[in-house]
Amino acid sequence: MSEDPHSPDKAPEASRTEPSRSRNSQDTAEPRALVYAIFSKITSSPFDTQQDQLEAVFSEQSAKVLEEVQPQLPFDVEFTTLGQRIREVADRNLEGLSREYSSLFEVGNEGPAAPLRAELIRVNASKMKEEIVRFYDFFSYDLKDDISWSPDHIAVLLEFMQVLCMKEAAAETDEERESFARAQLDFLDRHIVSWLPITITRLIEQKHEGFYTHVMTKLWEFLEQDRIWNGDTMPRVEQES
Amino acid sequence: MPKISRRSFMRGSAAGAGGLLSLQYCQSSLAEMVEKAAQPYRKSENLYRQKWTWDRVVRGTHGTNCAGTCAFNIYVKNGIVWREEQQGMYEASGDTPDYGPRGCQKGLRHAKYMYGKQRVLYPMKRIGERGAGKWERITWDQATREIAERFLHHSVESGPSTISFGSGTQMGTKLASAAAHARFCNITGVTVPEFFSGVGDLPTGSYITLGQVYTGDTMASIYKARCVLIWMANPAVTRIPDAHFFWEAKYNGTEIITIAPDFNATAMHSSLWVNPKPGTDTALAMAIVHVLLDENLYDEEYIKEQSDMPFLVRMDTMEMLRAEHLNILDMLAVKDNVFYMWDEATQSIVQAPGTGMSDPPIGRDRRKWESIALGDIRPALEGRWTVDTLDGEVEVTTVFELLKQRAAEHKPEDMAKICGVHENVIRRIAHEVAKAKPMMIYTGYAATKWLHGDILQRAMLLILSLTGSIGIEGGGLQFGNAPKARGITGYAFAGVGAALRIISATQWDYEHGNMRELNERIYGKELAKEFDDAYWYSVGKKYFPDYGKSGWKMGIFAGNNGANWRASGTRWRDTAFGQLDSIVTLTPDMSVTAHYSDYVLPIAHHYERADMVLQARTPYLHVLDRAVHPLGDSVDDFIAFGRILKAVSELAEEKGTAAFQDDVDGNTIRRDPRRYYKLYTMNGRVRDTREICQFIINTTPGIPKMSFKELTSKGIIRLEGSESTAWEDNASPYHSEIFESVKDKRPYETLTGRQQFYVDHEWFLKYDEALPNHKDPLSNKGFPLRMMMGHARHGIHSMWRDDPFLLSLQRGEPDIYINPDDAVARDVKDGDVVKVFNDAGRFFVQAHVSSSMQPGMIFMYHGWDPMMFRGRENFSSVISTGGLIKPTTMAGDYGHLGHQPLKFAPNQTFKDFTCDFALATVEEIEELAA
Repeated sequence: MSEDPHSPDKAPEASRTEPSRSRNSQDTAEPRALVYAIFSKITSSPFDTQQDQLEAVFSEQSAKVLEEVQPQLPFDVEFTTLGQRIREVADRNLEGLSREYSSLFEVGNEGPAAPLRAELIRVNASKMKEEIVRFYDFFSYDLKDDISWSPDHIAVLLEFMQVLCMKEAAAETDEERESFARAQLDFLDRHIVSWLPITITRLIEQKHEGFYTHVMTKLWEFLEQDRIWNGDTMPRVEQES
Repeated sequence: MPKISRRSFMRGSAAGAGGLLSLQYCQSSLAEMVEKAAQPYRKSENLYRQKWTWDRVVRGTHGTNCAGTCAFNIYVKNGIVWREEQQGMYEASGDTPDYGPRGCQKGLRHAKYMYGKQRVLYPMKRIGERGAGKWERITWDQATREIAERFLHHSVESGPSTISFGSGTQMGTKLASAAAHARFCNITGVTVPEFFSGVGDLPTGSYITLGQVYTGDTMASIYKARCVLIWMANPAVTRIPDAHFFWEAKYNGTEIITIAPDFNATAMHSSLWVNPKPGTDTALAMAIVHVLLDENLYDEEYIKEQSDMPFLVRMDTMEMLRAEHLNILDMLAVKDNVFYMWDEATQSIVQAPGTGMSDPPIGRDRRKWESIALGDIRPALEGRWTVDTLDGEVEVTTVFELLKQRAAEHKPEDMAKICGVHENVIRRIAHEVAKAKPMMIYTGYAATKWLHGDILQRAMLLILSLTGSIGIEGGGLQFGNAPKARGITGYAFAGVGAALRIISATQWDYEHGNMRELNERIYGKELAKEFDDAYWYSVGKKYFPDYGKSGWKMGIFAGNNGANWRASGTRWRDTAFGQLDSIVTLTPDMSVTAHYSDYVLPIAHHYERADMVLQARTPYLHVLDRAVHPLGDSVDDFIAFGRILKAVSELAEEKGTAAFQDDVDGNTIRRDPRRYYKLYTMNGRVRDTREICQFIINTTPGIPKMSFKELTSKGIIRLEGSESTAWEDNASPYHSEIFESVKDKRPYETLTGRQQFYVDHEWFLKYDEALPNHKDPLSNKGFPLRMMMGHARHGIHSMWRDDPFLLSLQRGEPDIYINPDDAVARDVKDGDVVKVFNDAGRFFVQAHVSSSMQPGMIFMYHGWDPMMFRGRENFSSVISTGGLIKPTTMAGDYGHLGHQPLKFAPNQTFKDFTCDFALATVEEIEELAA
């Protein structure tokens, strides 16, 4: 009979090595949370967002916040053009924005052209969705009833990342901080970067050059950098035989 | 507890970002979320240490038109349906096997399918050309306002009859949903094309013979049969939860004989498989009749009492002898429904019992007062006599004698040459059915889709009648049953009266789709003229209404994929559907009908609504309880139509639209759009489908009285009057008239009050159809292959057809079954893309070479939506039968034969065409891809 490698008393000892870069949660988590928050709101459906909140997101103030947060981030991402695009949208009628969003991300003959729900892209969607819900339950992130059917929507996923970042920022011990940091890396890896490039590719394939293609491209730039940085700043857990 | 650090950045520049940091999707605020304690997270395995529990388990089923209805438990967590599981608490009927567990792979996929990419989640408005696939999401307010503008305009300017309402089985099989649809239509006066005949499902032969369209029992009745002919049906594929009854019956000694041109999934389990050439089944049936009569293998007492076979027929005119032929007073009184027999006891003619009462005006329903019991009469089945009539002496004989003559024209050795079944096999089947009692024919809707499908059904019933098998448990024509709709119509008409405008879809399509031209092109000028003349004669004589006067301006399709299944495919889309000024589709899933619409409204799926389903295949009422919130912006159709009517009423108020008069079948109805919403909700008293369900429970006979809430806790409830496997008890919710005729000797609802095999209407005589008679199916000249179709294993019509997992169990795309020799002759290999074509159209599909097909036929499971095909053209493109409106099905002025929606109407033909196939060229595929 083979030994169960997961048996508690048989589990290999774990040891840590120092991360290649300093994480410094006190300085990095909040700015990152803010970026996640902004991207969550920008990728939300304008139809499902209150008008005042919509106006707050697509505003001069919001663009300014994005530009101001840029130097606070622990990695280089350029948000000036995104800020400029947000200003342009703010100057326009938001109805056009709704139309662009819905025709790209929400409606279509065979589903949306570029889905923002992981379920519409990933194989084994149910298993994936289950793990997302397990993440939410684990961190007591309780969705409102009207969106509960879609926990895998990019805006929800990004909001959850925002929450994890904020919890990291508020954590009082290294152990807590590491817990939230690891959750961020895992969640990012397993449930966002694993499928989002497909949506962005579809946007590019359609030669769509509107606001949302820029948003998604910029989001991906941020996520890639954040993922690398997360990996570099995470204490490595090495298995000892 | 951790305390949020108050970094300068967040306090400073981001102070204005407070709104940006607020959580949009979380029930808790950001501050609350940060404060919440969390378990330490090391790796994703941590997530799985927490036990997965369900928030609730809800009772449900799938209100779709598989007619199966299977009780499921629906497992819900965090507002998501994760899976479903069959409920297993069904009981048995007497000594038969029980009905459970029930379910199939489609139902078990629904928890995944409902979240699929095909799902319509938001109200959508077309922003490009029709069919271009360009949409934008709009709000319900915008959608209903714009729809209301058009609805009100057409109602007032052109009349509500110019608005067509297609209610599909997707929603119509749910009782509350159907009731809401009916009330909407009843209040507004929109035209409802009935799709029973529209999809070619109307059992015309059954109605002609028995005066009933509902002749089916529970599936357990199969176990009671001693011989079952499965004829034009494939229950191993289409009745997955019930097919076990066939195999259990077989192991119990029942002879199971499958009659199908292909070696299908049912055939392989049967005692005997018989494969006639497609479209020659009536030749086979009449050859069996010949053997039964020739070898005296019939139940003499049964047919003397229950059928018209002893009735006398005048040899001079071939009319049945009537009272009006004998007596001047009766002639003046037009007594055309008093018939005669030859009584061997008195050696004289005698009035057949149970004939002669009026057709059923209220209070004079002869079924209540009359009896077909023979008493002392000993009717002769054979003989010739002379009778004094107003025309002088006339020779008469019996229907039975004429039947023998007709059967003599269908000798097995002759019919074998037509149907391809060896005469010895025909005799063997005849002997099997003769010795078995009860004997059953289990048939499907393929039988009714032939131009002469009515004759085939009449021939099937003839076999059953001769063997004394109609109206007894374990016997009869198993075709389906439906609940007496009292609860639904009661709800639809409550407080407003009946003002429903139901029409024949086939007839409307014929007149507005220029089908005469199609008939001329495909089947020749002679047939086209013949059919057209009959059509206009019928309309002129007012046998059937004339729908030519007003066209349709607006189409509303509710769970109805009408642009998928029309019998002239793309042509119908161009000539009729595409001509509509406004098209609105209400649906949970995208389809070709939605694709060509102007507005698409999202409708809640099976697990997102409260409703009930009543299907006769089991003796249970099934509940759909709402397991989760409807996805996206979807709502159930009661709410959707309420929103539309609310917008109509508000708009009518704003515009000061006055009430108007509307003529419905000669009755003047007052319609007031300002009151539509109030009427729809009964002045706000009806708020949701639970209340409609309660109304239906309270008012439908046969449903045990209980609260809907109690029903949701049980999931299913056994119906009253369901002790037998047959629907023979009037206390049940289902039609039991045939059993009452056999047991209680009540007259059938036919002109003769009997199982009527002889129809002496002038058209039936003219077309040599007074008695059943094999007629060759029609063909497209120059195209040798007959294309057959049937319901699919992996979908219910177009529902679930596009589910990725179910597609992975097939070939991943639409395919067509081809005989290997036919494939070789055309240089086609398995998996090739072929073009199927004829003079009506073409479509492209994957070749599925299979030796289960006989040469000369190709086969395609139906339901594949055009959206799944290259070029968005499906099999309908080669179905050229849209104009084949059979003259005898527009007969009138003949007792039970005349316009009666859902009973007697022109049935749409789908089968009488031929085609060919060829390997698709690279150019063609590239052209389609472009």
